Amino acid sequence: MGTLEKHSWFFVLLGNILLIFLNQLVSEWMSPFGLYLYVDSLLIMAPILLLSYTGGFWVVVLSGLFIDAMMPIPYGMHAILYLVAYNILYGLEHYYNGGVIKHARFSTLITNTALMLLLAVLIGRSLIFSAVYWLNFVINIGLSSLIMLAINQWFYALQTSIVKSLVRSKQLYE
Amino acid sequence: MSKSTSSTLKPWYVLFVFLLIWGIVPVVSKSFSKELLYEFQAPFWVASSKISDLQSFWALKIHSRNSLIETCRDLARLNAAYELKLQENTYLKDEVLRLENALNIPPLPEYQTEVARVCRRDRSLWWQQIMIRKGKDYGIIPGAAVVYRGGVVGKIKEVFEHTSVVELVTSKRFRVAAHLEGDDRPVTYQGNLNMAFSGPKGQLFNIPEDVIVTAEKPRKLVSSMLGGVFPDGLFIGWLTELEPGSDGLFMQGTIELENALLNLSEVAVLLPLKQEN
Repeated sequence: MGTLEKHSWFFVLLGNILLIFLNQLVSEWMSPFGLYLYVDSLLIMAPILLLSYTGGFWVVVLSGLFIDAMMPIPYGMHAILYLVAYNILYGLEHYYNGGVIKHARFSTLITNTALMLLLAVLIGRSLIFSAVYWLNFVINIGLSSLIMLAINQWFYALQTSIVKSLVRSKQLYE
Repeated sequence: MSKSTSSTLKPWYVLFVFLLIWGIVPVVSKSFSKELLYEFQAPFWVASSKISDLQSFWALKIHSRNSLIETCRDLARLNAAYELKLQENTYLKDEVLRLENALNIPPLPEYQTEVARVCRRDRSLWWQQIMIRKGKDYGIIPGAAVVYRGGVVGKIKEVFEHTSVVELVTSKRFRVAAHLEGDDRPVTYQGNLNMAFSGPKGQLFNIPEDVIVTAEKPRKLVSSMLGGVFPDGLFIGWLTELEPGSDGLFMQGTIELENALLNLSEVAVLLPLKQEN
């Protein structure tokens, strides 16, 4: 295994960091309308598609910590949530023999909704009985899902092209 | 245990070990890594904001000479008005000083103003904050008041090397003492959950029962010195609705905030000056 192959996880992490910045940039543009973009399941799905368990594990942890550093929430919250989601998806992938990767778009959407729902309950504990809160949540998750449908193909293609150019011997999507 | 079962459970063992290690890692190490990752990202936001400033600069460059002359004329008029206000301000300051000495009362707090550009706006369901392009390098301190030409913006929440994070007045986590204009009795202001595609709103608590508000005659809410953060009299918002409070003694109401808070590009941080004796 060449040096670049060994460090392919690092390039997937760079791709994730790019997505995090773009996500925050779009969220900033939408902020005057009270909207927020959440497409974090892409950060979990890309390592599942392209890396081994250990490589993906570190990419998911670092991506989570990267997001946590900018947010007023307990540090490590995203990292732990992502890891749980990553483990579940990894388990399902092996149990259903490639089912998660085959239906990557659907899995990403479901994971994203579940993650955002978890955050809504964990962070907005004091607001969970407010109708306005849930209406806002539905608007944001609807918009995020639409945008994710539009970009997930692009993002996976970007990540795949980076890793493919580095890892010649490894069969992708195996 | 079969080999396949152990390989299925392996990820969960790894997760368990990670959680165990995360739990015992000292808080200092976590704070250090958080700050490290924040500082790693901060230059991106500063650069993005500077690029945006450059765009505005080039957009202004294409304005005609006539529009520049008109702007200069308007500014000259404004400057003349401010000159008069400045003279009035000097007289009032002297008067305050004279009264303080005559009545032997402690002096009013004074502030140094530090103007900063906004480089990131983060308004989600759960928090509302902005990042500004000045931090420890300009002596910004946590808890300092942040204002703009329209009044109160928020409070400094975290300070980093070259940037600071401001908790916005629209945030549910923002709480401050205030009073209605022309009425010195203190009330409590708190940010509220804001609906998508609508203007920012806040909540007001502990309003005395004799306060009357109608849709045609809203009351102006201004900051109070009692909070210890803001100087007295800075505009917060308009009290537009009133309803009985949960305790039955006081009322609570809705505050309509300025839409300009959603598109801030420049703010001023008020840093308290040390009083001499």
